[in-house]
Amino acid sequence: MITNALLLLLWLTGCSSNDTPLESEEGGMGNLSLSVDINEAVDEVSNSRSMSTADVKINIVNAEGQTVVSYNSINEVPESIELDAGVYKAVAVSTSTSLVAFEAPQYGGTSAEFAIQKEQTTSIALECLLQNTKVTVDYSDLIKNQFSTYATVVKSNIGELLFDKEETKAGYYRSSGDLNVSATIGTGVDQKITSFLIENIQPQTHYKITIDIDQGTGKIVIDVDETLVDGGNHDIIVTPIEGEARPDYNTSIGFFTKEGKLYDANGMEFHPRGVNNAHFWFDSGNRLWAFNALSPIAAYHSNSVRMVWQTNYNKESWNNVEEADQLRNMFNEAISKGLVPMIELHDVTGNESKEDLLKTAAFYVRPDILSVMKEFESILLINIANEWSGKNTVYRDAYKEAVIMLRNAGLKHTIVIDGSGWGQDMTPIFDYGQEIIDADPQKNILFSVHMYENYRNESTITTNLEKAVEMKLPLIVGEFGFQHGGTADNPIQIPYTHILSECERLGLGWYAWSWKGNSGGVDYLDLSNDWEGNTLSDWGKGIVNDVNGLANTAKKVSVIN
Amino acid sequence: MKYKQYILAFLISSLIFSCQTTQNEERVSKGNLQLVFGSNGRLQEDINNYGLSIENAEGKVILSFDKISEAPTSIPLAVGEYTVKAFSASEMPYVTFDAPYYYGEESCTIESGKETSVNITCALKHLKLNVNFDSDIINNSKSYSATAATAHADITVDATTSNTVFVERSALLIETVIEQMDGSIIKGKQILSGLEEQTEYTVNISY
Repeated sequence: MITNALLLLLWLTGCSSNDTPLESEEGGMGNLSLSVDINEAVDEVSNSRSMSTADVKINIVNAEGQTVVSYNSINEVPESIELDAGVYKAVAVSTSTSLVAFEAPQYGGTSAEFAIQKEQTTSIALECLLQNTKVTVDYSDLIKNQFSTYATVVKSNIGELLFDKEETKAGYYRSSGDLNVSATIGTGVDQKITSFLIENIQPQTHYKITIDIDQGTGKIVIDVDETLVDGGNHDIIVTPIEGEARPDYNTSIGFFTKEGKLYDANGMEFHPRGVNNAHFWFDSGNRLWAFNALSPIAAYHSNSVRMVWQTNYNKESWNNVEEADQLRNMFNEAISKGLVPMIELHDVTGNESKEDLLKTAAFYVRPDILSVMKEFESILLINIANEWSGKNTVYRDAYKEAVIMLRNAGLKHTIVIDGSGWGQDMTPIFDYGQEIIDADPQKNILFSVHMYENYRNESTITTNLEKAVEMKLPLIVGEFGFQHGGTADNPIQIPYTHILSECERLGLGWYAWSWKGNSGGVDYLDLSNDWEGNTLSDWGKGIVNDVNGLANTAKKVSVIN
Repeated sequence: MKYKQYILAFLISSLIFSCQTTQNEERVSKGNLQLVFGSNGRLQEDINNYGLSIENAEGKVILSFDKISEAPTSIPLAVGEYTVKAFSASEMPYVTFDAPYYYGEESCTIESGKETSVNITCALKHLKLNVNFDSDIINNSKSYSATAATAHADITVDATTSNTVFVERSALLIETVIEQMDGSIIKGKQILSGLEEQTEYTVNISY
């Protein structure tokens, strides 16, 4: 495998606009300073050429997928490039157009999406990997010693290469379709011919073919030894961490709560800061709008994402992808962007029935879902149900039962429990929160309040947040907006910057509602005007750029590199 | 990085017995399932020790053998749909140093009077991890270890063990503990996610 790391140093010069740094027309032009570093200390097979910097073309692509700047080689990349504010990614593309050839590896790669904001510096790394399929053919000693004539043709649906007995070079094929391997050993009446099919060849994969003859029967045997060039080198740099000790009663390998605070697996206190993202409503039908939005969500500095889900998944509406696989893909994508995933179920929003809550909670212990939940115990937060609104002791008893259901199934995650009254009523949290925690054998509960019109006064916000902290009840603000309820002429304003500042002062996490997709009169709650995050709404700009917003306060969790 | 691909070739033939039935009896066509096992003879694994099970269309196991070598070469079966499964052990260990688990299955249809061949490719169900410690750690530490925790189990690599482990697909939590020469401890946990079966990963640990 050849890995070239391109260190892209992005620097945007100061712009003169005063409060809209993310919108290009207002943010104006900035400078992109691109420094390229090629790491030549990489694995290289003996019969492949080294990668030349001239082999790769560098494109800077905006959120619409348009290439805004392009360079024919790494060497052509200048030190300073002018770019509009916005979301971009850097793409490396091989300049080779070869479909089938010896010694023609093609490398490429795409960076994570990154946001250019005025007066900020962003560094990203771009890794280039093999994009085509590598094939080598070798012959056993028996063949080499007993036959003077032998050769193999490896043919794809695009072209073919002849690997004769002297050939030691690697062939590179466009990664499409199957490979037909046809070996001819010997001549005349003793000639043996056989063929073999390698189906669905993959990029970044090395197929090592060995031709041999079984001595007993004379039957030709072909071994296919797949070498995965792209298994991945994962570098872990260990830095001294003096984390909070996990309580004895908590046996999870993931997050835990203690004395009112949330800690990651390293024992580092974690304040989740991010946005809500409506996967269930906008990823079906192969749209993947919310899924793809995870990149810009991370680019705008979120360290966590609250993922909307429901229990009525119908795989026919999801390209026949099994639900467990869809969830696995979502979680992996979030983690790969540095985001802590939190799943929540929206089925019983506003519902007060204990039975309905327990039915919803049973989703997590369904065997296929349970398996995925367990896979991500180290990093996943489970928000049992969005805004289930049981009252008084019903709230207490239903959640105690739901938590025990999950624990008995082996789920040790931090479980997130919303307030009653459409998430806004913290009374049952104050009244029964500690009892719910005490009933949990893992004592791993995080409460969540949703702050909308009930929190129109700053004093209400402060009073409730401070009370939770004083009671050492672990708490986040799982949803909030800048406006909600009231009338069209007189909407209720919510002092959201006060929520941000109080959360920062008290060490609490929060998730703003929501990235995109709001309708029914609350479209104003869209943080971004487009799924790609090219332009943020004023609401979104505030969440990102406020002095207590994401850019200034969201710190990545320590367990993700 | 590689995984080995093992192919079990099953030659399945079905023969229909002539049955004399009355009009009131249900007519059931039966045949013989003939299994001929073969390999390319170059395998490191002894497939004779692999397990084998045959399930009917309802998913019910109708025959199973702890070892392929114990299976008869001819089995009477009703005409119908079947799934033949082969596996290197009865259960996949969640984590292991030396017992990688291979599994494969293939559906087949037993038709009257026809011979059917089935190829089963047994592939590694684990992912393979090679854990490498930086030379600074190896040369300048009293001890060092890395524990990979999956959803169900964990396994520790240190100076006394192999640095290669096989683990179930999971988001892995890698906990590294390094005791330096002065007795101080450096430790940290990192998550590796998006890992897939049949794939070999190299984890390079440094500080």
